[in-house]
Amino acid sequence: MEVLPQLIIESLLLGGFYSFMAIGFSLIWGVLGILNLAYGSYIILGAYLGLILFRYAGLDPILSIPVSLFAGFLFGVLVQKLIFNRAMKLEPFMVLIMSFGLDVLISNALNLVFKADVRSITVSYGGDSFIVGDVIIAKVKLLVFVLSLLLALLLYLFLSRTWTGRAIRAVALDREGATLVGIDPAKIFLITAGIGTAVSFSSGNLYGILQGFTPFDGGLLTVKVFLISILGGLGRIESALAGGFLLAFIEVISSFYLGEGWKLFVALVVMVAVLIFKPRGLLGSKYYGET
Amino acid sequence: MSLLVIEDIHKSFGGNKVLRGVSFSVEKGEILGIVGPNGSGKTTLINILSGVIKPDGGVVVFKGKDITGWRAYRRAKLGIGRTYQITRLFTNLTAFENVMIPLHYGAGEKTSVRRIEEILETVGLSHKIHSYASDLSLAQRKRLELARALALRPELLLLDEVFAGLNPVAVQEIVSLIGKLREELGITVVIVEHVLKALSQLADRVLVLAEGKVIFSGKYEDMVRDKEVIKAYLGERYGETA
Repeated sequence: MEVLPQLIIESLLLGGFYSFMAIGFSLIWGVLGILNLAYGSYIILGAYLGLILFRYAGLDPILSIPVSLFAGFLFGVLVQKLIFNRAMKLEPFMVLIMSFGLDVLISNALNLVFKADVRSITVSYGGDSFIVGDVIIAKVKLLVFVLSLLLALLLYLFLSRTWTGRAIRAVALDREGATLVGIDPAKIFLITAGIGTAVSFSSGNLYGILQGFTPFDGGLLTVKVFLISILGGLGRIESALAGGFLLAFIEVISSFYLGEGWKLFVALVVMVAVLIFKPRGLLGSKYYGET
Repeated sequence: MSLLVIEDIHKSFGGNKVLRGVSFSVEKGEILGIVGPNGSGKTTLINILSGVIKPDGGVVVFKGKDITGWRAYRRAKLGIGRTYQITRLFTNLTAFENVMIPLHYGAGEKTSVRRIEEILETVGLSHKIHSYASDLSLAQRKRLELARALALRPELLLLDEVFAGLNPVAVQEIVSLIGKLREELGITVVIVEHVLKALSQLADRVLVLAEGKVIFSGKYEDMVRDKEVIKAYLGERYGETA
C-alpha cells in the first residue's frame, strides 16, 4: 500500500486545525504587539472547559464551541484589562514576563483541580472512520478540519467586512494614525484580546476531541503557535493558514520517516531557515491590514 | 471667540525643556504658519495640539472647550485633523478605505461611495480611488493624508511640514489646495513649515518658535526683518548687524 497519500491527507487535516489554533496568537501579536506565552495554556483551559460541559452538561464539544467562544472572549477582555493593559505601559519585556507568569498560574491551577492525569473528550463518534482509495480518514479529524476552516473564514470576513474589523486592521497598521481618525485604540485592544482568546478557547474544544491532554501541555502548544506565526508570517489569516499547513506537513512527514522525536527539531530547523531567507515568513507582511 | 487658544504650554523630555510657556490663539478661518529652527519644538507643539502627547503644564482650549486632557481620537471626533511630515497612511489599504475609516469613526457619518469620491475629488485624487496608499507618489500620499483629515469634517487642520520633499510644482498645487479648503470649507489651518516661500503665500500670520518660546508673531513681511528672528536663525552676530 502506498503510504504517501495517507501522510498527505493526515497533514492537511492537522494543518487546518493548526491554522485556526494559531490565528488568535498571531492576531494578538500583530495588533497588540503582545507575544502571549500563556496562549497554549488558554487552549488547554478551553479543552478542560469543553470536558466539563461534556461530562456534566452532556454537551457535545462541537455544540459547546459557542460557549467557549463567549467564555474565551470574556476571559481575554478581563486579562487584558487587569494585567496586560498595565504591563503594556511598562517596558515590553514586562509583558513577556507577565504572560509567562500567567502560563505557570493557569497550568498549575488546572493541575490542582484536575490532577495531572491525561484526559480526553471521548465522543461517541470518536472511533469512526471511512476509506477512500488507499486512505483511511478518521471522521473526527475531518470534522475538526472543516470546523477550523469555517471558523477561520468567519474571522476573515469579520476582519475584512465589518467596521470593527477595519478598525482592528487600522490599529495594527498604525496605532497613532488610527487614533487620529477617531479610533480609540484601548477599545480595539480589548476587542482583539477578546477575539484572540475566544479562538484559543474554542480550539481547545477541538484539541480535546483530537487527543488527550494534561494541564501542562500548554507550553508545547505555545511553541507550535509561535512556529506557525514565524513560518507563515505575522499578519493575515492567510499567513496563519500557510504556517499551519506547513508545520503540519513537517510534523507528519518527519515523524513518519525519521521518528516521532524528530518532528519538533525539524520544524525548528525550518523555522531558522525561514527566518534567514524570508524574515517575514512565507506570506508575511508586517501586520494584519497589509495585503 | 478664538477657535483655538493655548496658554502657557510646557513640555520636557527628560531634562530637555522643549516648550517653555507657549501661548497663542488662532481665529476661525485663519491660516497660521509656525516656523522655527530645528529643535525649536514645532512638531512637539503639533503633537500636543492633536493629542498625541500630553503637555506637562498649560491649557488647550478648542471651540471653548478645555481639551487639555483629551486623547487624540476624541479630538479627531471633535474636528481636529492632522497630517504628518512623513505621511502615516494605512499603507496597505486603498485610498477609498483610507477615507472611509475616518468618515465612519471620526465624523460618525454614514459612508457612501459618493461622499468618499467627493472628498478624493477635492484633493484631486479621484483617479486613484482604488490604488493602495503604498503605490502612490509622495505628492499623492500627502494629498491622501489631507483627504483622510478632511473626512473628519475638521474645523481645524494641523499640517506638519506638508511641503517637505515636494518639487516646486507640487508645492504650488498643495498651496492652492489649502487656499481652496479655507475659501470653500471655511477650515482653519495651522501649518508648521520649513518651506518659507509657500508660507509667504498662504499664512495670514506667522509665529516663530525658538528654544521653546514664541519670539515673534505677526505678518510674514515683518518676520523676515525682525531682529530676534534673524538672531535665532543665524546667531547673535547677524542679529546685531541687521
